Amino acid sequence: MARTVFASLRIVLAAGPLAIGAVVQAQVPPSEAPDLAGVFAGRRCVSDSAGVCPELNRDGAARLLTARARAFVEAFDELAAPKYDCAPATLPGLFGDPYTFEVEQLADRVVLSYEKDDVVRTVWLEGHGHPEPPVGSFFIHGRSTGRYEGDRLVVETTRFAFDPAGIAGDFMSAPSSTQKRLVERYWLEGANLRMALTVEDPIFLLGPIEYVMEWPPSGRRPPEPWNCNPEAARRNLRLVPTKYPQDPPVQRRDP
Amino acid sequence: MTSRWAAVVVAGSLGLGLGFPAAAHHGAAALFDMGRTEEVTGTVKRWSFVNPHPILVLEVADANGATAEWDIYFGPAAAAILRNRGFAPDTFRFGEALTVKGHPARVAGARAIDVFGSAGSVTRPDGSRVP
Repeated sequence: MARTVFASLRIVLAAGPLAIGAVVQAQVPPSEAPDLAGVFAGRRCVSDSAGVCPELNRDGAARLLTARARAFVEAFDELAAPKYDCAPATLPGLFGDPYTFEVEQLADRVVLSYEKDDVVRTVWLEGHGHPEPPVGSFFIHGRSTGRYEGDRLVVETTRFAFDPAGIAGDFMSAPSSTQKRLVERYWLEGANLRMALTVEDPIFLLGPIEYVMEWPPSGRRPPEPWNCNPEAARRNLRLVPTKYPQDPPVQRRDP
Repeated sequence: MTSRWAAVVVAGSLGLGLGFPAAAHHGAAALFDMGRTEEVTGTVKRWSFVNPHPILVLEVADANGATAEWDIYFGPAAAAILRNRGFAPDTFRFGEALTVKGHPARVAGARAIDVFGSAGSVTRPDGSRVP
């Protein structure tokens, strides 16, 4: 994969005080950085024969859920899941989706763009003076900082907002707290991009979830717009009875 | 409009289905009865090639001529995956007849079939499979 020189006007979604900004960039990553740029798709669990690492669903992660996590799962009504209003998939569940994502390496940041739900993550590389968000700022995909260690990109993400599907999602959700912390380590294994992931959450996990995933190059264009359709997002709800039929019916408004 | 609600068949058959990969993380078994298959024939009332899940609605008539809408599901697949499998925004035309086979919804009263997986199929009146 050839390193790309970026000289374009880009809109970058930034967690933290930068919010949404338009910045002109003509940057290349530092020469010692591994070349991880590219478009990838078709995730595979390296540490298990399944396509999706078992820890990505509630049952697979069950042995690591605290009692309060299990109680939350028991009480939570699928009807209340944010995804039915087109809220984006969150981490680490997003890693289990089989759609395209792109890695762009810039001088002071790495941008991870996912086809699923149009998610864009900015990894702020250390040593560039990026400001810390104010205390009390939490984000649906957290705030990510990163550094290169040899042939690897190491991404650490904290400041997650409470998330009912923040450990696992999709009908088998388990929650995560504002104490959730992810460490992603990316490197190339041949042409494939590999990621070793550690998820910690002292409130909802008894210990860290750890697994390794791999994506081959997609050979396709960069991710296409997802443009989530709220009606389509809610369609599965017709098939999931509410746990609380005594409550008034919910008439959802479009976001 | 013709109708044919039928055939409960053993699940897990090795039929010539759509051949989608399994995607257990979406919990299809929680929504659909993987132990049964069901078949309906109707006409296309709606086809929307959207995310997160394309929408296909058939209008199906029973033996008495009463019609009802059936929701056809493609498992957890989004438009990008269906596109890779040969589906497109113009795959289905309003009013065309289709026969679909797949796993019926678990919830009582739902008219919904999941054609995802090896037991699923979408067929035109001439017998050709879609896509």
